[in-house]
Amino acid sequence: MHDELKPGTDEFERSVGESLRKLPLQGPRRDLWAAIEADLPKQESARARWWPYALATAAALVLAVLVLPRQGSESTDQDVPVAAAEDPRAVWIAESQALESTLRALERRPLDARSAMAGAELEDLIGLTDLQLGVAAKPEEELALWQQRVVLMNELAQVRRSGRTRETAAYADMMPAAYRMN
Amino acid sequence: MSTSSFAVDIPELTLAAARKGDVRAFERIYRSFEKPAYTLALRMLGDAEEAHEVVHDGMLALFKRLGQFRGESPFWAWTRQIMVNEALMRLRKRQPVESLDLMPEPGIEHAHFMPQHGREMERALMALPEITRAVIWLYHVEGYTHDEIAESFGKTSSFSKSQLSRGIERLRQMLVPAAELNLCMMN
Repeated sequence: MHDELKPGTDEFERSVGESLRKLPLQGPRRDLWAAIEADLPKQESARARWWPYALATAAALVLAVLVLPRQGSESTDQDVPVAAAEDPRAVWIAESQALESTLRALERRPLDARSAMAGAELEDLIGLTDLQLGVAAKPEEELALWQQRVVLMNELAQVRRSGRTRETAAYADMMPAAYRMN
Repeated sequence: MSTSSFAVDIPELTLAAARKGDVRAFERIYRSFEKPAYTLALRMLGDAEEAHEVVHDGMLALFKRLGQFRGESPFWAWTRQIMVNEALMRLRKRQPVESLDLMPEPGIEHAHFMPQHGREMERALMALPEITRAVIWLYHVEGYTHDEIAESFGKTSSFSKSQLSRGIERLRQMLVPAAELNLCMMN
């Protein structure tokens, strides 16, 4: 509930609020849809163009998760053995949700230009993972994508917290410029 | 219940289709939020062209992040926050506006659709410094709390309270003489 109209809000302020809420909605002077539609990422072609990169990234990330010691991980939930969990996918989804909060909290930290760019690339990769999750047909594909999402989010948290990482540099160098937004 | 014009329910089927890349489903989402988004941007920025850009960029950001929407808040509130963030990003890029005299005249192209009282209110609102105006709009029209406004601006809630209080005081100075005049004419 709004914390206005509380004790102390005088009559004039109430009437201002009421008048403002009564102002009519305004529409754009021109139809913006055509321009938005033209700028939407072309999903099919983007997926096709990205598939080799995504596969390579996924393979590297799975290797990193399974073999390499984890540094700067955001939560100990990630250490739960996947095979031991009743629904391994749920573990990664929960981890992903926890990381959303961490990332929101870190969102406003100032970054240098290279870190900001690396962060944007990671955000794009997370977005791509989400697109792939939307069309994943098999449970094992979905599980791998959730794992990939968590690893990317951990990387993004690390970039936002402390600047550029080696792994991030590798991602940034892999990204075709055409995919970059803004 | 929210009084925000964004408070529109989007069917789950439409959301699911848009997540899978169905452009027509995304267009339905766009059409649902076109006017609330444009109005919000116009009130916050006071510039029609920039408001167009906010709607354009905000909708692209929405599409890009659709897969991240987890349903923890209503979809309309999530959409609105994206639009608010886009508008704030543009406000931050502007030079600080220090004098009210430098503010442009309010958009009067729609003024003839409004009752006299609404037109006066709109004119007074648009004469406020942009940050103050944005805080008043988010608080009184969109129903944001001071904490939520503070979070969006990256400031403390004291900032939001003080902007609101000063803005209301300025509106009082601009509007009350006219209101008193009306009262005299009625008597």
